[in-house]
Amino acid sequence: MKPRRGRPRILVIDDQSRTAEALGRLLASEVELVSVRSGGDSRSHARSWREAEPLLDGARPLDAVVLDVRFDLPDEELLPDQRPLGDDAGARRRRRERRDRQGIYILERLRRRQPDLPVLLTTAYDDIAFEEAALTLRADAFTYAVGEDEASSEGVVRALRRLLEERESPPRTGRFFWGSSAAMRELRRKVSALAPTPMPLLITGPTGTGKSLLARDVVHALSGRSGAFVAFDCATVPEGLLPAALFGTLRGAFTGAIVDRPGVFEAAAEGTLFLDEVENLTSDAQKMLLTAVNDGRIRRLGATADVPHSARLVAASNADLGRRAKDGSFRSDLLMRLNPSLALELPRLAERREDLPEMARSTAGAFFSDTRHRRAIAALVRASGGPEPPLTDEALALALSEDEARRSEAAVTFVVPRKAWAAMEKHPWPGNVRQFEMALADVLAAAVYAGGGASIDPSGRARIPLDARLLFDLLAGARAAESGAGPFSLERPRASTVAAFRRELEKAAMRALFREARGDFERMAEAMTGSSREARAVRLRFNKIGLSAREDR
Amino acid sequence: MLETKYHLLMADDPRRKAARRLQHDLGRYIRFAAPEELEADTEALRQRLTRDVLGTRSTPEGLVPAEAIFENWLAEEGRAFTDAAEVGMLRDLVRELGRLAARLPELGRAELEELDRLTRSIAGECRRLLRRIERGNDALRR
Repeated sequence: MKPRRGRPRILVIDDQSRTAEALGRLLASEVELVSVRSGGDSRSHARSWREAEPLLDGARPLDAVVLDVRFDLPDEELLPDQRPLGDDAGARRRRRERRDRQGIYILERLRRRQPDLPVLLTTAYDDIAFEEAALTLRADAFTYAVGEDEASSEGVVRALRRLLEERESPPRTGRFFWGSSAAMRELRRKVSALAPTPMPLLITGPTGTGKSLLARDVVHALSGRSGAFVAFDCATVPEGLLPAALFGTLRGAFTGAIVDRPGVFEAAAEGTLFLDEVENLTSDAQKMLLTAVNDGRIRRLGATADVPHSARLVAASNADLGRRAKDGSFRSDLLMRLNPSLALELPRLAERREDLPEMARSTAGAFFSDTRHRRAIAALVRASGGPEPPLTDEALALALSEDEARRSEAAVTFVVPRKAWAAMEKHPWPGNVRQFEMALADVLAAAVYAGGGASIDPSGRARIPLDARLLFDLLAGARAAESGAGPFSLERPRASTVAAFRRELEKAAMRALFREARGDFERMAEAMTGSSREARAVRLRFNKIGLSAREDR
Repeated sequence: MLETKYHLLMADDPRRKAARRLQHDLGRYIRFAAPEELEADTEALRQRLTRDVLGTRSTPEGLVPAEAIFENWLAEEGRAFTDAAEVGMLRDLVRELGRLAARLPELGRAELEELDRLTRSIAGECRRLLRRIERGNDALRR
């Protein structure tokens, strides 16, 4: 977090005075509006890029810019070239267009000068082409997203408060870890802008990058929606049951439908419906989903009339949906409705290695926050002859080298040996964040519950080394899974009949492959059949024989 | 480069641009200072409506009232919207708004509340017009 030097400094760029007046009235004690001197006057808004540009280099940096879109200004003040346009029909058309999109031109200049300066675009335009242009230039937020009175001064104030809070936000939102790599900063900016809008969203990224967490802890949390977050894994429901699961059923719709049952669309009323692994929807289900998204209406199986739904759709996929649309296995019209040009793309962990140290500390922090682990750590320190450690957040730390451990002031410091950390930094992490967090949590748990104890220094501080060999084994296991080849061993199942033995053998094999693949069904399918296209069949079989992705990791 | 790229992204029909302009200049600012809950204090309500209705936009030449913004827009863009029910509705609403706004300093509570309702209706019609035009464009693109 950056140290705050008084109230945040906000520059309003708007040909109108009204936004600045409103901010001055409603946020007087919270922000400082930058003054603009023009002639003998002093105003709290810059009317044009010409007035705004010199203010970017003030002695104190700006904290945010509030920028309008349409500027009713003379030609000489209009970007891109601030020159007179004349008065023929062509000139009049160009003048209009420059006025209509002046905010975007200004945003482009701002980005050249200050790429990371948060910008709130105060627009009443709610369309995708506009957003694409604005997001290309990395606008941070749009005011229209605020609600019914989106264009009101209170709406601008709410959006600005949110933007300023976002600047100083912690590395995690809920359980979702952000980090500070350029890719994640960019994603954060995009999510802040898009989450409060009602539009359907697509989250893409390889398995283990945190798509579900992003949907639940960030997109839904920031959406301001009053309803529930309902997650639905499109890969786990057999084809024939998908329509009923999505849209619900009326009693008597089919044999066994003995009560009315709402589908997930209705369960997510006024909330967010998260469709995970959306590429696994059958073509019939894709068609039904398209109708639901297009018309805003659904029909329960057995019903004769549609009813409106109010769920906001967020879909996730680790497949290349563009390619799937080309080869015909995913409907291109459904893909377009998911706004693929605005997709929230989660990068591979290997593409954001600079986040690893912060991620390691954050993962350790989450591990330490568990009361059972804290008690076990205290018992371990006592058993090693140390004093009773305080069980506060500050008392427990993770050091990524022995040097760092020596400098640590924490009462208890877990130490990753330098070589082990170097190996972790180089590892390809095919299972991404999930794999990294699981590996580190496993090694921390091993140190607490099965390790060699703590060493206590003369001032009573405890140092607990993490087992480098275990860590190397975990990394090597991941590599073996990555190669998808080689033998794997199974525990001999116990059963009273041949049929039961066969069942248990299949379970053991599936469980072992699942663990090797670190929970990635595409990798598991590849290891089993040589093709990731069988992932859906593998997942269905996995669930059918009674295994659970959550419990069998 | 931006001009080309942005032009491609925003290359849409004049009706859409005109509807956006109306939403920006009138729909957005006619309730810009409105709080979420109607002001209990009558003078505060009058003061806000004076700003929103009679000083809807500010230019270097002075304040421009909502009625003038709409009339200017209608003169420049109205030909493209002869078939739009929303524009007919807006014309009626703005006329009624102008009638009340002319007596704003002496309006009683009930009439001020009526004026507030008119600003809400006008903002709603501007938004409806823009959304309908955008949906129409979407349908054409599909």
